[in-house]
Amino acid sequence: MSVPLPPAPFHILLALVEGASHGYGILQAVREQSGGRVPLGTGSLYRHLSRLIDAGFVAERPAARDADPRRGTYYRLTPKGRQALADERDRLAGLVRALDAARGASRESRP
Amino acid sequence: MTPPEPPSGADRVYGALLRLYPRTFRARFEADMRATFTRDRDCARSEGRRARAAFWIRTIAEAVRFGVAERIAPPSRAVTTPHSSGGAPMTSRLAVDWRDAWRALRATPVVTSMAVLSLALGIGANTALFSILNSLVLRTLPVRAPEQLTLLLDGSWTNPIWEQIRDRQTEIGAGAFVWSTVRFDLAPRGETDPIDGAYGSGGMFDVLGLSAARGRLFTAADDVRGGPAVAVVSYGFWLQRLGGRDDAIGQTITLDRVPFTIIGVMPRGFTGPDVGRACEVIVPLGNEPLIKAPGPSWLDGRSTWWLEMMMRLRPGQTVEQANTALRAMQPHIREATMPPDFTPQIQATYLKEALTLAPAATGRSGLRTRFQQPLVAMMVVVGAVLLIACANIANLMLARANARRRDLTVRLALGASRARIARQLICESLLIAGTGAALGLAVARLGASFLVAQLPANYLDTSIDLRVLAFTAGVGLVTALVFGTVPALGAAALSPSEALKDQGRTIAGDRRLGFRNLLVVVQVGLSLGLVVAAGLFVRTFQSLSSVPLGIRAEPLLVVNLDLRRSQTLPAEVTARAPERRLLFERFRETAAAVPGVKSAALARVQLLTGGGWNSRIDLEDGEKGRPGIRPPWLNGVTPGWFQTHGLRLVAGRDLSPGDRLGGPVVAVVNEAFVRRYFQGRNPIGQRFKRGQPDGVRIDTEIVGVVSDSVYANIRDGSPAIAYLAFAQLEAMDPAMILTVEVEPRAWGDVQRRLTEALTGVDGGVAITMRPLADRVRSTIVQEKLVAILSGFFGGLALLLAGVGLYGVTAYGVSCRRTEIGVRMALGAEPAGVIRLILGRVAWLVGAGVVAGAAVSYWAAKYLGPALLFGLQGRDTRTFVTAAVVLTAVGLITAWLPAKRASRIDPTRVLRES
Repeated sequence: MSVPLPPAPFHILLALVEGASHGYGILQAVREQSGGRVPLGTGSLYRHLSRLIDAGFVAERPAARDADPRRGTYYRLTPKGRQALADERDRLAGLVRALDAARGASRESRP
Repeated sequence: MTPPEPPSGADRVYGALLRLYPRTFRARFEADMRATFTRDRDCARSEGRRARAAFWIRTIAEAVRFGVAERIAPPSRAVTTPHSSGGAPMTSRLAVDWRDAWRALRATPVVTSMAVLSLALGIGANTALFSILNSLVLRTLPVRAPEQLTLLLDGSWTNPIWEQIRDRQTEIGAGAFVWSTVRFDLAPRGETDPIDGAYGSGGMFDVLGLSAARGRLFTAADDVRGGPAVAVVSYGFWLQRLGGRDDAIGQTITLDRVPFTIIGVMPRGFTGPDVGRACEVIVPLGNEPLIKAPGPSWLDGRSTWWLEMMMRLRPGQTVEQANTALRAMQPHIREATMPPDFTPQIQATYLKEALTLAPAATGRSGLRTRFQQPLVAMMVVVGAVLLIACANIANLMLARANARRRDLTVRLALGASRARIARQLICESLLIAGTGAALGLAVARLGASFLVAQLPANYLDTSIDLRVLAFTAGVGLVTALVFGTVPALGAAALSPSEALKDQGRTIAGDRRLGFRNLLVVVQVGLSLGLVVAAGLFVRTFQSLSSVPLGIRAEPLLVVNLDLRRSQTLPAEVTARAPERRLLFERFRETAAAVPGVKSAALARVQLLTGGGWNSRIDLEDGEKGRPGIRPPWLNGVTPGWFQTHGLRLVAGRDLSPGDRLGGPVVAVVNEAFVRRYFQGRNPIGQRFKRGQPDGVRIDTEIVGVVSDSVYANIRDGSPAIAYLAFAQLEAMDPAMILTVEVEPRAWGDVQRRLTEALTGVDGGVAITMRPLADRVRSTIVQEKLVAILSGFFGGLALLLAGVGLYGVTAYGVSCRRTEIGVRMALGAEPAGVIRLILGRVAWLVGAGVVAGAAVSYWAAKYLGPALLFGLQGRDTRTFVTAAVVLTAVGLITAWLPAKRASRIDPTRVLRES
């Protein structure tokens, strides 16, 4: 999975930072984080998940024995996924810095 | 542990949707997806109806989109994201568009071939006519700087006028020349071998800027009266008649039996300044007396208008400047060339009338003048056919696009952009239009040569040049855009969820049907116009071919006898000397004795040539000839001419051998003459005076009345004709008409026998033979051509309109299956369903017919008497017939889908939905 991360995979990784979650949990978390701006349904979620798993950013964690079977598999972030998220954070932070500097410069250049 | 809930309907739907995913994907995620789906749905359910609808739309769209995407592009381990589908370079993407378009077209071969075929016919017809218009009207002469050429308007000029202008040409422009087309006889003896040629003044080739392909072209030095008898020939003549050999230069040919030396070959492609008439042989103007002899030369005739004049402008000089220069010397030119026979009134006009030069880069063409109107009329017709074809294809493409909505929707859902889909649809249109245009070019080649064969042109170069190609390509492109954009726009308006839902549930008021209905109305309207035109032209041709000729044309062979090169008459024989008449009589007797000939008669005037001989007449009591009223036609005939031609003697007596020069001058008139001048009184014994060119008026007694017949042309019907006795004609032209009645079985070799017998009388006679029936046919060839073409295109328009109506009805029925099913379930009878469908079609056809009739009625005022015969442009019968035919075709083609609709099984339809 390349950097920069597209919005949906980024939000999925973000949803898993706090800890492992099941599909519906991820769906809810993404919707909350993005304020509904990233459209995600079951279909797209699992397609992204499959890509993220294949890329080694996310791994399945077998459900606990007492877990509600309706919740299905739990997914967790791998160290590689955590690293990808950190890289993305750095990239975005760099962008923000650059943006602020440009803004500051333009403010200073005003007479 | 909670027991699993029984699967709900929604779960089953989702299970079905999951089948869109490849098996490996399902094995991995199906359980999880089902679980997530259930919880998501529970959540959506609690948020109300709108959220639920949005949830389902999203779910279905995603399932379709990603399920199919997983199948097509299973995730590779490479670094790709779900959204990166558009990374290919533009060129390969275009290639993909073309490939997809090609595949999509191949998938519907019937629709595609119908579209291509109607386009090929439409574009072919347009290109064929355009290539004729191009060669006749648009193409410039193949000479140096044709844009500098001007033509002296308006009509023909006398040689004295030319000599005045010739001596001042450098003051007006860069040089001028005149020419006059003429038919030469190439045969050294016996039957004539006519060929198109011209007289040209010495500067002709210099002014045109041409150089010889072989030998040399004549110059001003060759153009002197009584100068050397030299000729230049066309490239085609040199190849075909002279074998294309270099030693052809210096050879001798005979023109009207006078030997001429060939001095050169004109450049390839040049066939004279006349478009549509190839000059195969051109001789200097100064040679004209040689050919005319022993007749008078036209070179000094101040009333002989026979020359066309072209002038080349100096570089940078405008036509206005040349005209100013020309008008400055006009009074002198006019005064020096005043025709002696002009009345003072006409003389004043002659002096005042301004000489005018006009641009003539495209040369001059009598053919152009004569056929421009019918050609433009046909161009309008084929343009309408193309429009109908386009409307048809637009309809077909719309139907196809609708049938493919699922396919297109899936592609949209998979992430194809609307632009991409529109691009593919436009590619499809371009492919169809391109193929149609290419086939159209082939159709045009055939069509143009067919048309040219019908025109009285001996030479018209309708080859495909750049302009024709550009025209065809332009027409193809425009049609592609016209009929391709509509479905493309439709695709842009597609909404995936909607498209997936509404299969077969449209009811009558669908907006998409509205546009197609409009197309059908337009199509029906245009077709009506074409059917009306076809009706008018076919009936014109019918009336013309059923005009009673009054004569029996079938068994008659018309022989033109030209005695100018007679070997038995003394050279100085004059028109008034009896020798010529006696020689013609001998020819007639000889011809009558040839085996296979039933009878033979002489006449002064050849029938159906478009012209004739007329003279003002004054009746003894009653009508005097008045200017402005057409005088009666005259002819001079031998006894037996009426019988040979099948005319009945109605009263009095036939001309007899006793009517001789010196005796009482007699005439036989026809019934039309009696109707016009005697209004039912007995004309026998009445007298009329007729004028002679020398002013002497001859008193003539009417001795008989014969039945009516045609004279100059068929359109005039049966005019008033007075037949004088051949033997009493005051002057004898060197050429007369011998009409021979041939026994039906003798046609095979009667021409050869006649030629032998007649040249036996005088070896110098020039003989031209043509069956009269042939001439009758050729006088209405233009009307026949227009009738054939408009009939063909009218039929084509009917066919296309029928196909269009069928398509739109069938499609309408398929859209309304559910509605019809419900109606039938509620008790509608099959007959009622048919009425429902046909009622709608009748409405469309009715609207089209009314609109088309209104437009045609307006357009009909442009159909003048030049194009029609025996009926008016606004002929009620034709309009009504066309409307009935079109309505019938519409209802018949709509009957099939309506019948099918009435067989819809309501239970099945309702179960499907």
